[in-house]
Amino acid sequence: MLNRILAIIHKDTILRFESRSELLFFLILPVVFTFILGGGLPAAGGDGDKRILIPVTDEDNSPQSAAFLETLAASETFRPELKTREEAETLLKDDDVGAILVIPAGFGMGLTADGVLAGTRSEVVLQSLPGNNVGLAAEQEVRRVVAAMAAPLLIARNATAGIEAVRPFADEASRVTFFNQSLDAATTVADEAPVRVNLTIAGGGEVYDQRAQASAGQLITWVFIPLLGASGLFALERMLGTMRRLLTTPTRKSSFLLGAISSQYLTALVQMAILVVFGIVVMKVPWGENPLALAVILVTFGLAGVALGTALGTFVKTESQASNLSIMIGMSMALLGGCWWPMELFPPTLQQIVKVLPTTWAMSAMTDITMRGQGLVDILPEAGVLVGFAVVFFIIGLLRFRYE
Amino acid sequence: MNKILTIMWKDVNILFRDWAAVILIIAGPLVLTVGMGLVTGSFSRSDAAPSISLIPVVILDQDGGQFAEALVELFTGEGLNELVSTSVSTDEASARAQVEGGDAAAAIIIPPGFSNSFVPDMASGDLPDPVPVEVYADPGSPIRAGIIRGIVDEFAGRAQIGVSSVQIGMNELAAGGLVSTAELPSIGQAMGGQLLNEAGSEALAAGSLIAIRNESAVAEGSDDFNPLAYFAPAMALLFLMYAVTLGARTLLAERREGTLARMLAAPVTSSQVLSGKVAGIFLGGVIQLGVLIFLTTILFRLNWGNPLGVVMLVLAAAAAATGWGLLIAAIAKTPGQISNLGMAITLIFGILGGSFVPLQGGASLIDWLSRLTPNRWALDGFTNLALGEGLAGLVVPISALLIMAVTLFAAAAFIFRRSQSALLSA
Repeated sequence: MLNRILAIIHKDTILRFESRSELLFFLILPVVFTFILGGGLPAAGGDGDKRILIPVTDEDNSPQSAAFLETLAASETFRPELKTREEAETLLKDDDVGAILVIPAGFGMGLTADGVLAGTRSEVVLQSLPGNNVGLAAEQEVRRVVAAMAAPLLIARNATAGIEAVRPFADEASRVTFFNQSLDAATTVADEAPVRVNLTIAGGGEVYDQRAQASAGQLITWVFIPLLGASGLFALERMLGTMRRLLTTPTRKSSFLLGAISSQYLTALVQMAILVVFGIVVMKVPWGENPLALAVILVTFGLAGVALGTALGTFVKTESQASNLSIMIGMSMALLGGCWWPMELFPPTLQQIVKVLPTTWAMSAMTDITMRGQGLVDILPEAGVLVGFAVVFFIIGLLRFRYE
Repeated sequence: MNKILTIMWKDVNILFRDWAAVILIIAGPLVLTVGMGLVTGSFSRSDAAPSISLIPVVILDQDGGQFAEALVELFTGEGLNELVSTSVSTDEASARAQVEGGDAAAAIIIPPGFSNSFVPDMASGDLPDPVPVEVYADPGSPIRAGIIRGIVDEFAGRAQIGVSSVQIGMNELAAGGLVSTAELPSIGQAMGGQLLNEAGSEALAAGSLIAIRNESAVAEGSDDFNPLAYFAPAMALLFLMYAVTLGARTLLAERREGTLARMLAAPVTSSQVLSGKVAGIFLGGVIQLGVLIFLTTILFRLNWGNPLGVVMLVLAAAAAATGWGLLIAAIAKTPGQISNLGMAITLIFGILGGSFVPLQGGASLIDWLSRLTPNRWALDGFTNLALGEGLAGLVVPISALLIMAVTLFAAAAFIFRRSQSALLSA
């Protein structure tokens, strides 16, 4: 029986890779997508600087606006580049950047002693496409710069106001003098301000690992779609009549089914292994820190995928139906499972609803391994759910399976 | 002309009678648009603000002092109740475990001595060594953890500004001899008390000096931008490429199945056959886009913008995509090759053209490569229309699409002519 199963596996593997174009979907496209989405390509301009470009229009040209730009340039996330307003707005409208920053005329005036004491408020303008994540991140960064610039001025203003409440100044000149003296001291204090907040990352990794997200997300997407496409194999064999011919040989139906499923499953395991190695070697994703946990999740995810493909195969009538449905279902499940966009961006209710999808659990486990540094015990719940999916889908597939 | 139209209608009929194809080119983009809408929260909110809300966060107060209580109050109070969902913990291990398991985006751990580290020594005016609050972040939730960190940073910054204001005020008073040394502690306490009471007020807020004004790139007078106005065309264009390759596939399939030879036996010229088939591919693309625009308008109440602009853009996008379909047909040798190449190019154009994830602010190489795709130019055009721009916003995208179409038609014709008059000689 084993020999027959191995022969069927061999036959199906040869059939699948008969055309060299299969390599496009098996290897080339997954690698290309992982590389691009993982930020592997150099950023626009910036000589290899991978920070996100944010065009800045300085309409004030004051020492204060220059100081603002200098502080923004120290950002780890954004690379400010001076542009005219027209250039910046064109880049935003053409979708070449996610946000632009404008420092309007008068910005510096509000940050002088006279401006601060008079209660004038300066402003910066952040333009972005609504709902855009780059705009959201840019706002966080601009807040950081604003806080850094405003701190000494606020200290000096509060010190002046506090003293004035106790001992009013003789005249406006002494008030301004006191403010300026306080500002000098406040600048030193602000520069030497102690660290009041420590950020530590669970698992000891980086705050955001775009490469890990892309590597795990694309692995799931590109392995899941062909596993669902296994449904087409049954439809094709039914259509060509080869299934009937095969069953005239001394081959049990169970051997045929096991062989056909194993072929897809083993191919998926090889594909996953290649993509993991690519992730480790090229994308520097820490896939290998918990090899046992990784092996368990790849094995269980593959099982859930091939089981769903088997179940789907009992609903489709033709190979092209199977092919098109597997692409549509696979892409939708990958999207909703957090493989393309981080799950944290999903609305809270949706985060609960998508737990009915195997891709959600696979992505969760792979995020645990690659980003949170978790081990076998931690991913066992996800692995258990994936095995549950596999059992349910296999039962549906076996109950509905017909050879004719 | 009638013969060309007959062949065109035949191909369009074949395409849209194939339910497997319809599933992919019509249902596929619709399903993925719904998915994108759900992911971005486009169906559940009236404005276009980012969908992040109710960030799960755990806070643990091991200090019990005034500043620690204020921080706990900030996270559990009404001011942030839409943004965060805070649970107060008394067990550090449990708080950390929630983050490590991905159940909380961050844990805020306030260590003993945190509040006292803000209080200067009354005699010397010096501050004790800082005792930082810890934000223990989930690397799987970088954006949400970043927001929590930002809030804690702002709180700590305000407290620091309050303390430094009192310190510097006292120092300047003492240095200037404006008050006696004996009066300093009481003045300091009065100032500190006042600033502390104003902890959430203008006096300590950076925004009271520099405001950040958020502006939308939506043109004045138009409706709010709905993220679906990006994703619906993005998905429609993704599958447009596949639709045209399905059409192009019939060029080779008809030769293989012998129907092309039969067609040429009829009183039609080879150029009429080719024109009819090209028109069929083009019309198939136009219908696919048109149906999707109609359905998304009805189902999602999506405003695609200026109707004339939409029609012009659909025609230009279908022409450019047809050009790519013809080029693939000219290069490929079998219908199977067209299917595989077509799907591969569909996906590659999808990622380069921003159909899957907008790749703004990114790589120059991607930016250049994206200019080769109809997806990018058509998406630029559809986004401009959705942002309320008129026909002027379509000049560049439509010009680029038409140049692409003409170039690809010419290249495909050249290859057809050189490599195989065999195609039409059947």
